[in-house]
Amino acid sequence: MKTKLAGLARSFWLLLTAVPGWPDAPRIVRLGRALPVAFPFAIMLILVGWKAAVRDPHLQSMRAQNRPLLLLESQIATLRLNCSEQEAHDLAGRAAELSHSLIAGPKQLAEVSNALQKLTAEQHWESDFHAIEGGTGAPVEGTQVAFLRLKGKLTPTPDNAQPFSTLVMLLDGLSREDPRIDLTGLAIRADEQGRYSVETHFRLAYRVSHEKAAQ
Amino acid sequence: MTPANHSPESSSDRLRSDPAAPARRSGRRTARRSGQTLGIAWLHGSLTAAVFRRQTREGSCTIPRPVHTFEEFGVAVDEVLARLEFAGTEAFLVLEHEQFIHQTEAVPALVDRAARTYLQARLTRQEKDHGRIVWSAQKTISARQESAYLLHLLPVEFFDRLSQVVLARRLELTRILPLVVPLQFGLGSLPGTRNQPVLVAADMGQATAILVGTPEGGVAFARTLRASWSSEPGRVGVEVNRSLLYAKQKLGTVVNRIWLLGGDDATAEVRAKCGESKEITAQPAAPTDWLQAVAGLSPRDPVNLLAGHRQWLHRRGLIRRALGAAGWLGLVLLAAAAWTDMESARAEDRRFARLRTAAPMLRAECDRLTERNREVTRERDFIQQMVNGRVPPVPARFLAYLASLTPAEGQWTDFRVERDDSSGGWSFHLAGAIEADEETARASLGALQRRLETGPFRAHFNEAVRLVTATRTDGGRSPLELQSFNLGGTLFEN
Repeated sequence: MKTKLAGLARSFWLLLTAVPGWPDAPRIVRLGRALPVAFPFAIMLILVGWKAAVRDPHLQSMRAQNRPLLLLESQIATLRLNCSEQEAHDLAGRAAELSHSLIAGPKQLAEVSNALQKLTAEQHWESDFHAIEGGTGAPVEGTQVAFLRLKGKLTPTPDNAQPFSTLVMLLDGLSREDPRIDLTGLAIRADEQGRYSVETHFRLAYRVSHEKAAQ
Repeated sequence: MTPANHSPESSSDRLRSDPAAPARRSGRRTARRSGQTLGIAWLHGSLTAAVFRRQTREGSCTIPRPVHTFEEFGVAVDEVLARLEFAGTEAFLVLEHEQFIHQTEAVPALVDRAARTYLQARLTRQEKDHGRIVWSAQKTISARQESAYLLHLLPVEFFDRLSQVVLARRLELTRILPLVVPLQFGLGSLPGTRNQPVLVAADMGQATAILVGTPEGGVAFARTLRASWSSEPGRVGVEVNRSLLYAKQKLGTVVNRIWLLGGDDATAEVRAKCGESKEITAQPAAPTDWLQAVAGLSPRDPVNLLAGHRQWLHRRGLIRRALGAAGWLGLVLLAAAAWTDMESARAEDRRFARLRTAAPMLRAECDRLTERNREVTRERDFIQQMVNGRVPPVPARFLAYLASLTPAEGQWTDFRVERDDSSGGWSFHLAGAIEADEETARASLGALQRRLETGPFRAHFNEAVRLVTATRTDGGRSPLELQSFNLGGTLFEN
């Protein structure tokens, strides 16, 4: 094996350094002859060695040193990809619009009751609204919308000649979007004389403050 | 065998550094491709040369003094070149020298390729003891089963020195042939009976070449003996006779015809030694004739000692060129890759520098985006909850719808619609009365139920309607039959 390797090396040496017509050429001439072939390989070897021994370790070190910044940049890119500025703007606008249709909270309940009373009075109905006990309980965790429950008792005024039609109109007016009031229950009783006694159940949504939702 | 480690193909480098090189002939330097070929017959101390142009002899000369050493050979070649005004570079050599050995080697009956491999193995072993050699082989004819090859063996050292002399004179040696080759070519042109073996003895001045072959060109064997026809005709006669006996053994037939090429000097002795029955013909022959015979021989002819060597040199040159080309190509590609790598590393450097500079800003931006996305998620959830949490005004619509379906004789006393927050469904309860008999009231209620079931609210009733009949008197008139009823069930939002 050793002999074969030596023979192979000698053949390769001859292949590289043989000077045509000069079998006993001196070493320096042989080296000169080998130069055009050996030079590129030598340079390649140097390049590869430089890359492996100098350049790559330097790059790796530099990358390791700046890894937190790269991660930060990557994180920013991911965050940007998750939602565009336009989408965020649109969502904020839509949420604000929806928030605007809600009451501010339990404190606004009295104001809403007054407004509803005024509305019923316009339709010749007498009304009495009050919050249902427990209807303003703590919102469920994770939800941003909580509800207040309002119970109303309505009786037509003596001058109301058409109680049913005014009631239908009134109910239409009470189920409204701004502020958002949901009619969740309706009970109507009529006695033999045709007198109506109406009971309504409303649900009013309000937005839980961010701090609470975040908790 | 093992080819020499140099090539006779290019001599310019050698000329520059060889102090022994003769003065260059500018005429030959400028007319390298003149189409002329120089043939040299160096036969045991005699040297004859001829110039050929496409196998046509244009001139010849013979060196009148003995040429034995390489120095003498070099001087003789210079003289030949000058006298013949040779303008080309290609040269061939018909060589007979004491170091140029011809020997017959028996080979088992194999195909040619295998036989050559066998010979090569034999010679490789021989080289270990006697040094490297350049060789060629000719298959011989034989009456025996086994094959035999006539080997022409030239030491590499001799070949190298010969090449140096030739290359120093800007000559490209393309062929080295033993004298057997022109003699073999001449067999076919000898007059006489076909298919009969013939012995040819050629005078080389101080030696004699003997060849036995057939006019078809087959060679039985060949040998060279150091005997001059002029000084040792008796020995020549004896050796010719011994060759006849050997030929008889080898061919299994008697060789009756003998050709003596070179003159009559040995005819009498040959006849005396070989017997009167032999047909002996003597004719003059000159080395120029032998040069002429091989002038058109291709350098690739297997008898050419340089055929394999030239092929090997050519292959080595190709490999060297391919290696060089691959090296330069690889270097260019690697350099390009390294340059690209460095550029990208530089760009990366710049990027890192930018990142370091902008690090506080990036952190702030990251915080802002994190907060923004958290807000977006919250807003999205809020919108979703708002959309999902919408409650349609079912009670009011159902009331209006029911009013439109109520029969004229009916009246409602109780209407209740409630939403179940846990399931999100709607339940209803209705109570009323119809002024009619039971059958009419049941029909009216059935119609009402069907309308409600198939209507927009798709009401589903919990149980069958039950009627309670009552009688009512009104102001002394005939009593009215009053059917009271209760209905309950669920509604589907529309």
